[in-house]
Amino acid sequence: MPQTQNRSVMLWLFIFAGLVAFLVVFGGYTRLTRSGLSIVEWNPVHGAFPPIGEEAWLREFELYQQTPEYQLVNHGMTLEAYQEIFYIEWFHRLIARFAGLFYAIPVFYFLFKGIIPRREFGIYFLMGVLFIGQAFMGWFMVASGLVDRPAVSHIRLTLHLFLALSLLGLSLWVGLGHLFGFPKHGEKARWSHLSKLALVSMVVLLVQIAYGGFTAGLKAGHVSSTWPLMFGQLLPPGLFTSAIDFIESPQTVAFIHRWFAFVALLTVIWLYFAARRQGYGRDIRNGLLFLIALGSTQIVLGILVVVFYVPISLALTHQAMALVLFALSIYFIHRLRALDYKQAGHLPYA
Amino acid sequence: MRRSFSLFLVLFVSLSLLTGCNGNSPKATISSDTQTGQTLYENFCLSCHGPAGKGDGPAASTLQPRPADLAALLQTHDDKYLAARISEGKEGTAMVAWKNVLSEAQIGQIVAYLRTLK
Repeated sequence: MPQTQNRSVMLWLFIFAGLVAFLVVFGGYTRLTRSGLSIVEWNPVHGAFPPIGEEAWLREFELYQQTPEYQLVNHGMTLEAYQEIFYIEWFHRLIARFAGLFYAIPVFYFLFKGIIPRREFGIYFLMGVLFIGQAFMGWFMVASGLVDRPAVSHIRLTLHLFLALSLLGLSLWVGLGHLFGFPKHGEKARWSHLSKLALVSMVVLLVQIAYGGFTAGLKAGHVSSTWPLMFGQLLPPGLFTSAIDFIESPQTVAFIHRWFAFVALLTVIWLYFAARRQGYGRDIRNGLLFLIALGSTQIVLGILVVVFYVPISLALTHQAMALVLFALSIYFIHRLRALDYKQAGHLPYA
Repeated sequence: MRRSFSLFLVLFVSLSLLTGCNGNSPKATISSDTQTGQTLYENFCLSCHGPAGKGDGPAASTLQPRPADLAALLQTHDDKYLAARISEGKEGTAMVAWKNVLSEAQIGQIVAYLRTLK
């Protein structure tokens, strides 16, 4: 972990985290508009420019016409309709390129200027590795929908989402360190009961987000448009016939995503009562109440997505709210750990 | 009097059984199949495929590609195809495989109901 606080680095990290979050939400838009498989090649450099001239467009369209998506789903699509989905995917990739530059240029500037000391570069280097990994994973995901079946692998889609979450979480964590201060090298603090609970709560949230990714990838949001009943029942039969159903069956995945949300919410409620019992300050307790309110809103949004048949606007708001919850969890754990360090006699200003 | 009552009872039961064994019986079974099929259709299929199976359910406008027009599909495909489509789904669309959730018999009942759609 870095030791040196710097306001410019902090701002850079927070803006970068915002860019990654925007990229995730726009990725959701790309998926929901079925645009993700429209560009069948991966050219990180000259792919930055869309086709210019009719001949180039026709060549691009011809390539798309060879994909299973065109042949099985979009057969007969016009060039104009193709251009629409092309531009959505192209813009998603363009923001990714911009985010890449927004990472790379400042990090090297800060490094050369000594604002980021060389011995502290590890964590920023890891962010770069994650970013490159994310770009490869994006293509690996798209490639899964270009052969045989006209849909990307929901596992790869979820991994793509999780690499983005790792980047978002890491840049926020380090940014918060720049804002509030880093523990000095060698300073250690025991994880308090509440910090451990907060960590458990975030893991539960991540499992729920993973199921959100599976639900999106399997188009499982469409399997039932009623809530709380699914197919007229609270627990429809046939959902748990084998272990593979937990990640492969759209109906099982949708069912888990519906109800595991309440487990995630309950862990935050548990956290709130633990904080109250252990005499934590008003800021912590109010922060937890805010998280409970947001978690409840997220559940209501999820229900609305289901009963209104997955409209793009609601589905995107639901996805964006998941990012907000994740970001707040990171913030919350960061603050609790600062209190742990304070308790251990370090970080007096935390 | 008692004997006449017994005779009447035997006649009534026999007639009822005979009525039960006549040509109406399979019709009654089909009707119950289609009725169950209708309930299943309403729970599992209607939101996308619509009340008349024309692919115009309330969810249809949010789907890309649009749900299949079953009324048209029924003209060109046999029951086996329809059952297989329900069972296995169609990749790349919101038509997921239902074989885990619906039994073969239930899928048959949905197909039986679909055949009654005009």
